[in-house]
Amino acid sequence: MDLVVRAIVDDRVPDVVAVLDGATEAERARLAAAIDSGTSSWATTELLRGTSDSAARLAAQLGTVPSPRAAALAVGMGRGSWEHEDWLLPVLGQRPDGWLERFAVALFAADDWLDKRPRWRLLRAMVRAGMVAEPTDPRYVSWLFEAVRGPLDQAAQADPGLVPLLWRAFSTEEAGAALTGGGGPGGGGPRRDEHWAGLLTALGTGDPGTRVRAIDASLRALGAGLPDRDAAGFLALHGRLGVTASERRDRQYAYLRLLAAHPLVTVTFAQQVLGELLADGRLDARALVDASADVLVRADRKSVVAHLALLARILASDPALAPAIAVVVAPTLDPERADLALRTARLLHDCARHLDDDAREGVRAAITQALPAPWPELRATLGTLAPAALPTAPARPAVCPVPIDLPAPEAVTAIADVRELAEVFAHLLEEPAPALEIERALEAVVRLRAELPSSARALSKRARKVGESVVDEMDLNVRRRIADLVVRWLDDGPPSTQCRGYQLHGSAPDRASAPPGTAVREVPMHQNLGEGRLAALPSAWWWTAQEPAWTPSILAVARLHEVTVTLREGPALLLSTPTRGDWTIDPDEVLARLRTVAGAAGGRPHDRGTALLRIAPGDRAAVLSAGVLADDDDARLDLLAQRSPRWRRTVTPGLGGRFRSFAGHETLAWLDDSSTPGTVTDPVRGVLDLSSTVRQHGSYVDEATWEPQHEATLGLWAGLTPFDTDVLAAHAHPLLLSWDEKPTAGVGPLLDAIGAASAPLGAPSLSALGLAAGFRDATVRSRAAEAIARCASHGLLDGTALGAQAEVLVVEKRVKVNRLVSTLRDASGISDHAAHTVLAASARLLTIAPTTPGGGAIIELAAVLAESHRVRVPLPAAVAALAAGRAGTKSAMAARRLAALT
Amino acid sequence: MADTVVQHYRYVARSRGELVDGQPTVRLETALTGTGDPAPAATASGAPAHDEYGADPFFTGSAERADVVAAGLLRVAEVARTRYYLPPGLARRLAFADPIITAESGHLRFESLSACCGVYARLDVLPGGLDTTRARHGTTNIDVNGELRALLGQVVRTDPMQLQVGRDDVAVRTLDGSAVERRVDLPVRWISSLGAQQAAASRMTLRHELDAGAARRFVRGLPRSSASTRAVWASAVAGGGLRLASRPAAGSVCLGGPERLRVLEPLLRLATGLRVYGEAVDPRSEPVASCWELLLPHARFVLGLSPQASRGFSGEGALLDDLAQAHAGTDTDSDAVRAANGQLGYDPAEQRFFPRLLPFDLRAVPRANPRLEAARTLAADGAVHAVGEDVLVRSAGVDYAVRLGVDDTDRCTCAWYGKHRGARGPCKHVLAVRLSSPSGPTGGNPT
Repeated sequence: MDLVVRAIVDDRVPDVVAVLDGATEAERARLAAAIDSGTSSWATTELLRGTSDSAARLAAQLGTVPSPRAAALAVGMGRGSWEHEDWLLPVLGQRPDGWLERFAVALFAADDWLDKRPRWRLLRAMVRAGMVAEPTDPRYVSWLFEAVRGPLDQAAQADPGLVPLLWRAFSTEEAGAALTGGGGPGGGGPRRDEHWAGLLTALGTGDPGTRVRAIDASLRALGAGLPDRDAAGFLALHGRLGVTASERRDRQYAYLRLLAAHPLVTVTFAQQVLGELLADGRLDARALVDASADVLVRADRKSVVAHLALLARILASDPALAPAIAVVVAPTLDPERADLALRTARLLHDCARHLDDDAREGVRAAITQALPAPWPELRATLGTLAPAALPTAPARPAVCPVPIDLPAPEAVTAIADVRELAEVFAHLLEEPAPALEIERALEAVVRLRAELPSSARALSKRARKVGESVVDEMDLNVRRRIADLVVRWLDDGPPSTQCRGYQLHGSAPDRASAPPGTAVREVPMHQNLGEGRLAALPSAWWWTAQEPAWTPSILAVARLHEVTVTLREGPALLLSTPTRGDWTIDPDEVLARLRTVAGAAGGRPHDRGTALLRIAPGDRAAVLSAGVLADDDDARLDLLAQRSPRWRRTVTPGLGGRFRSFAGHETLAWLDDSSTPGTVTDPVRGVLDLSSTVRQHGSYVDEATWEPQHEATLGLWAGLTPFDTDVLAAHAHPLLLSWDEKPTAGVGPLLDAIGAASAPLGAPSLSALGLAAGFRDATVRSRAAEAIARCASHGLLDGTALGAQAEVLVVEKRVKVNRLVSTLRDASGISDHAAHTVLAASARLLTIAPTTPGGGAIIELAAVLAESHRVRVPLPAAVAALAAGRAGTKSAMAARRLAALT
Repeated sequence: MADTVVQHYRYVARSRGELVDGQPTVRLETALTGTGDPAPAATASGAPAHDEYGADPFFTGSAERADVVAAGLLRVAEVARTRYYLPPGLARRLAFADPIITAESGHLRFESLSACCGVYARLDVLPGGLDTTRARHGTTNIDVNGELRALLGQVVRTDPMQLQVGRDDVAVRTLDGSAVERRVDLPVRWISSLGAQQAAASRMTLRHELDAGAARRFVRGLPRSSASTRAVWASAVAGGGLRLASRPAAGSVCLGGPERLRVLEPLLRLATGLRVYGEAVDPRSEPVASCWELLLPHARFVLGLSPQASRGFSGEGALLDDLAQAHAGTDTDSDAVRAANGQLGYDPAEQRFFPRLLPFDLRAVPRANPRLEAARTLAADGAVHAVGEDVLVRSAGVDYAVRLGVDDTDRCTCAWYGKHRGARGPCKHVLAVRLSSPSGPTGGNPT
């Protein structure tokens, strides 16, 4: 081992090779452990410090590690092979054939973030040396463009075996992307002129026959169904081959085939070439017409518009093709692509005068099938080809459908026995369950606490493991709290920790500068000078403090803690368990419970407060008059009964979260000026106090960011505010403002709770829905649409008010218009009620639509809904002005559709 | 036990094709042998080795719509080479299996399964789209290489495509060993997923049918990414069409990993409609598999999707109940056992199984059903015992309580059941109790 270490320190690869020559695999494995930084002695580690990038170190690893995958990782992570792959071949040659085969495969299988270049170069050297067979993995081709040093023609001269690989690139995934440097770190692909020249020289395109071969190969590559990201590279290559006009004419059918390709760049290129051929009179126009169907149904607008223009040019130059054009174009009319439909209609109108009666009838039938009810402008444009007009009712002012009664909530079934309770806890320990399931479990564990299930030991063991494994950054994790509860029940474990607020952290230049009342600690700092020497630096000073809080998460978790205390100290039942699926408690049941616990310490504060929050508004008077409440509970219930919120929207600097060294950012909050300050021991006043959405804005976001399975906690929020959806929505705003661009944003339970409202939605709820409608996460947008539809069906959502809130959010640039419109459109398709509500909202948004980027989509949505429901929509002046014009923009066409209904 | 099966793909030559005056001719090479064993050696006389099916070509004839077959085959090949879900921290291992072709009842069926075991693709070329000169029943692998894919991408709607699947006599006469050989270590779960997918499909019925325009709008409106554990639900909207709902409802179809359905996108230009198949669901349903059938001229393209992008078909436990019954009895040739061994495919449009002898011998595949094996071990070791009214299964030193037939479900207090709650079939403890039951594995608690 000493010899190997010396060879590494001296960076002498031949010495490594010589030392390892003849070693068995077992000896090599021992050596690998001896020099590996994770298992070597301290002395060896010190000796080898600074050698991780050396070729000799890498040679030693390749010559000793048992695992081919570990060896491949070493190649990807170190720089030792970047210039010296040939030096490494001798040491690799000492390894058995089977090991080398697996090593070759592992070089591809190593993580993508590892540099491809040294891996490819080493593999190429091994292939050239005959040590392994040439891989069939496509990356052996695509990585070439990044990995080869210098111009490709010089590389091919030194290594002629590269040339067949270059030709294979035309049918290899990722190779096209690599040509333009899109394939990986460093981007060594031929983006500069000299690199393209080198590639063409390496291919041999100086020879006319080879050049023709390259032209055809690049065209085949463009139509080969390779991923879209490859298209740009092959297009660039094709462009560099100097294809002449006559060569293009001879290959026009190949360009025509490209019209069916998926990448937009390929289709655009093909259209450009074909357009040039058309202009030169060299195009088989009939063949282009026959190939048009594939383009006209593409999702992108650009290629469709370009193709319609091409067909118009063909029609102008050869009217005899009108029947063929009309037959291809007519079925592609799409009512949901109004501007394209109008362009298509203009082309059909121009075709019409060249059609005989039979042809015209056939085309009209195709149009009728595709678009049976064209709007007036479209009908006028189609002219004689328009479908027969269907009788339609005159447009009238909007009349909302009669709301549907709220469904009767299902009864909550109590858990029958301890066996079922064990099954429910087994589930709650693994998955974020619906909040009502947690409530059932809480009720049952208090009721059945003296009994133990036969699977107690297994359940307790699992609960302890869950409790130990959950990383509970902010002490708010529901799953961990449930695990604590199970251990408390089955094993008499300790009660869970009590959470009364948020832990805050910050730094200060010295102890004296830390905020008063905080716990301060000194963190020594050092600088590593190498060779085991350290230099002392000024210490850092970190402070921590707990900030009292009574946000919904804190209140929910405080209640869970309280139940662990109740298990051992009573009372024997919970007051707050809902009896119905809408979180409410039957008034007779709540009175019976209150009477039962009245003599037994009166129940615990969170349980009592939560129970009060779950008494339906219509039942509060009866409970108050029964006289069983303690004085303070009486006051709280009276507060709920008499409450009349005064909502105020405020834009304010929000404070940062746990790490107060970081500044907060501007935030939008909804405050109730009628509320009183809350406390952590009073769920009623605590949840109604919305000042925390400003004061602790960052903490709301932090808990959602750092707590695993935070959706489970959000589900418990709904149980605190079953009748105050606006309060829930106000608490939700910090999340809704911060998470709009997250690919997956777990705010679904909040939207479901808003959708389950039993009272008309106020401004905070409408604002929350507007924000959610603009989320990047399509699942959130879908849930927002469903919440809108559900509330609309029960007459709880004023569409105009929703539009007003959305308008403010759009003006403040808090939501993207296209996403908002997409969500509204989605909601409108769910039910008639939703459609009318969305129509009202979009009508309200018309005031800003003409001047908002993307606002044409708002006008179009309003037009589509108004037409389908035959509703007259009052037009703001700006929209009316658009309608009066003849512009061809999306906004103008949609405005004219609206105006036609008035 | 090994978690992979070595699959040797050996082809006489590479699949190839050409365009002559715009007319495509495609020759698809089939594997010499589909088992995990090396190809048998040449005979003593030097005659070339034959595959299991003999030397005749698998299929010769023509396809009516060359563009449909070419585009569909490209999609099938694409799915075979794709991993739609990569577990966090797992290096990308490209163990790609070659597509499979089955000829039966006048159909040609090209199939593949993604490397992540969650996306199944099949192009069914219908009898009306084939002019068959010669065909024989059976299943084999086909080589779809880069050069062939480049050719298929050039095919447009022209005259019929000449199609030959299998080796021609010339190639056999000049055979002196495999011209193309590839070794793939296929995960066992890949093989069992291929068998399990059709079991899931056989439980589905037609739920929605869209015309071409609605199909295009729906597929193009799908998100391009989603959380791997998320599922959405395709629900009907007024006026035709589908929307993505966040929760199940009666009539909706689960769409786990909705971005995976974009496999259909390049075929939309040829589609005449879309049919959607799924199991019956209600508002409490867990995610389930689905089938999406794109209607093409003289063909159908079927895409089977697992319940979520992170789940393959093999872990769904779809066959465990049947296999447990088959184990207890002698019904080793039941549809369930044959399905589990990959011997049956399912056509949802025609609502029938079709024989598809996969080129793997699943009976020789270890750990094809690890859960059932574990249950058998528990039962054999006497781990199942009753304590009063409770049935307990001792495993890893603790007792798990099992209850059979509670509200038509079986329950257990183990962590696995707690996580999945029957959505992936029974846990090993429930299976062990069933196997130990005196009334057999159909149910009933053991005495």
